[in-house]
Amino acid sequence: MGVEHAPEVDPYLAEKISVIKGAASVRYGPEALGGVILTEPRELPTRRGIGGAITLAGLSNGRTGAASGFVEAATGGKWGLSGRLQGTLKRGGNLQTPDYFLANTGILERHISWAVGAQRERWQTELYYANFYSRLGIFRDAHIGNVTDIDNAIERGRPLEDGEFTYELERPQQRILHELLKWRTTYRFDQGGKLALQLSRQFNRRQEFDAHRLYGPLPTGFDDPDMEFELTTYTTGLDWEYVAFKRLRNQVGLNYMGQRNTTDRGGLIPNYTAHTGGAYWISRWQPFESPWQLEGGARYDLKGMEVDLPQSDSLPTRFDFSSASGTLGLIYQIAGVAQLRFNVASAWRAPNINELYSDGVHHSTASYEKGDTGLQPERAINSSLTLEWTRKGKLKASLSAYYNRINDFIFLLPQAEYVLSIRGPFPAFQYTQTDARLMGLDWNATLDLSDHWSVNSLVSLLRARDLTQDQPLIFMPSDRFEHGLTYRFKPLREADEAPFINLTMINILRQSRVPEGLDYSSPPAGHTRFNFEAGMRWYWGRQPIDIGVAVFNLSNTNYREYLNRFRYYAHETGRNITFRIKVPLGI
Amino acid sequence: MKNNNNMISRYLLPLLALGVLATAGCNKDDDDTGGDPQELITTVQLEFSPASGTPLTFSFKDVDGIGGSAPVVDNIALSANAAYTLRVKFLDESQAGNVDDITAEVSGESAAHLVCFDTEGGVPLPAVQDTDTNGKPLGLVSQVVTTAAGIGKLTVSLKHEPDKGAAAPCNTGETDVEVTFDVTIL
Repeated sequence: MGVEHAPEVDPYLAEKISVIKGAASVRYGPEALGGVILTEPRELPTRRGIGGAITLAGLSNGRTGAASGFVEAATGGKWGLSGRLQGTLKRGGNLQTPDYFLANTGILERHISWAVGAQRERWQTELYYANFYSRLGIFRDAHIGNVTDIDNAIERGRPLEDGEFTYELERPQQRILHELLKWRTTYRFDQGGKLALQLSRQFNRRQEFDAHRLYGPLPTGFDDPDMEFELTTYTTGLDWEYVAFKRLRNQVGLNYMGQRNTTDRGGLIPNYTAHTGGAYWISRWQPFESPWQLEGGARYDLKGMEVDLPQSDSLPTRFDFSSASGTLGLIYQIAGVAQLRFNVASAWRAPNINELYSDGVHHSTASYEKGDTGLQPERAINSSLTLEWTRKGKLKASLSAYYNRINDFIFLLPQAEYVLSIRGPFPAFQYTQTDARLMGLDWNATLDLSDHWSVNSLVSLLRARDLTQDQPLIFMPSDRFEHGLTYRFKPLREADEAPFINLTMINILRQSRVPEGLDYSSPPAGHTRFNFEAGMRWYWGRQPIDIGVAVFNLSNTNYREYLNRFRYYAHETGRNITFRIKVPLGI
Repeated sequence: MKNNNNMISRYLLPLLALGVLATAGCNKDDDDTGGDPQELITTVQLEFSPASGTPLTFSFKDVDGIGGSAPVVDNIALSANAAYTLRVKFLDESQAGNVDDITAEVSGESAAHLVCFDTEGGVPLPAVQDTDTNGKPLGLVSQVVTTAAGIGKLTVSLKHEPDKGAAAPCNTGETDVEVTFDVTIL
């Protein structure tokens, strides 16, 4: 839906966050071969009993409070019935930078989910439902009419007024409803084989309430959104894992996805229906007593899209894309010390609806964006080499170098002529394709200095270039360093995790590699900020209580983030002291 | 009987679940009613009235909105050494044969609006004559006094919710209209 919109995730529910790289990512679609971030709710319990947990969190910035809880139960025994009910409520007011409040940046979130499951012999089935609703204030000062307003804001360097604290959510505002119903059934074979069928329906409704109408008074309530659209998605997946030979494991599967977008108010993109179907195959082979491991995967996908346009329009309304993609990985084990992994993958992505059909002003950036129905799919060749070095209880380090080449990379090309309108001239951008190259280094290490002290280090470097125009790509993350020192105490009870305190220093460099004259202002200066974190398990009688304190931006540093489009109007948020307690309950 | 139970669990429950999925899919909210039509300003009209004689009218028109056909902009021609009363009008001409005058809505919410002027070359800056409900400048009516002949530009903008107490009120608020005319003073 664009760069401003992150997926909706309830952080209190997503207990398992995993990054899937290499051949396994083939399962998740032709675009996912760069790696997938999976967030999954905790698994249903299998042991007989009732359990649950209550989590309370308070955040100083925005005076935000959150409460979350779940209860779960399992019968055990022959039928293995289990279930869980979970809910989260979160409310926050205007956020604060070191010097001023950000007007209308509050949030309200409500999340509820349930799951029921049954397990018998080799069968396992689970039905899951989640409903996520949020109201989000959009920073008032970023609501602008044209380029003059952006220039005025940049000139000022900060919002016109200091703002004040309130929980009141005003216009502009977004209201989002996300609903998911998922049913998954698996059957386990001998020797670790598995067959899984998954069906799901997702429903997304987004409503936008503008800060003002071009003239005339604003409606007083929130019954009348200026824009409303819905996206309904159905997916079906069948996955079969099996052991083909003694040391050769295979996984094959089929996926289908149907999507329908309907706009009720305000036309941003046309209505459309899309169907995507694919088949994949993954193999892992480890010869006996060999340090080598080989993995590979391939898939083929078809995507068809039918767009509803007024009959007067001469643009094409039907698109069909299809292509193969695949990955090959080689792993070399240096006994007990290190692992070397080489991976090469080919991925593709069909153009999105907004890239094909946009034709209008993008209000958050005051630019006129025009799509191109002639766009072709992007195609990428990604290669990476990773060295993982482990010394048990001492060191865990990983160094990864990658080189990705994207042909027909879709981006917004600035046009020489501004588009003239009654609102003033707007810079015009056209969706265009080019060949791009992204390469970089990722480093991540944790070293134990003694029984109590440890240090960790994280470095991320990226170089991205538009090869056709021979210039840097715009809006790419700058180099980033994180270094931390942790002290661990002796836990109150043997089995618990050790209480700890940690201080982390984050250095972000200024992005010096940007194309000339494409941005309203030059990238913000680099900066250093600090985070602090401490956590322990404490006992109230026999009841364990997990306590966590974290302070983000401890030094209350004034800074701007290059990738945040709001940087034209305001600084990033200041110090945020957060406190969290979790009370696990079990019967 | 036991066998029957088994059948239910093995085949019927999954089917039931599938049924839930299928019916959930049917109540799709598909009312494509479109809501209120978005109101538009398509035209800025400048009326220069000399002390005596017929008023001169110039306009900036973009009837089809941004994109599509380019706006039609008149060149302003004024006499040297003359005094004019300048009236700014905002119109919606997006529906053919139905001109909607929005100026009244701007003056109706006068405290939330401000008409600003900017000039280049030998064009005199219009002096705002009218005020809003708080006694602050509004800008729908102003005075233009020309001196020598020359050429230049006049930019007219309409600000929404400006901070009229600021040092430069025209650098605040959200710009609803910003149009530039070429001006010739003969």
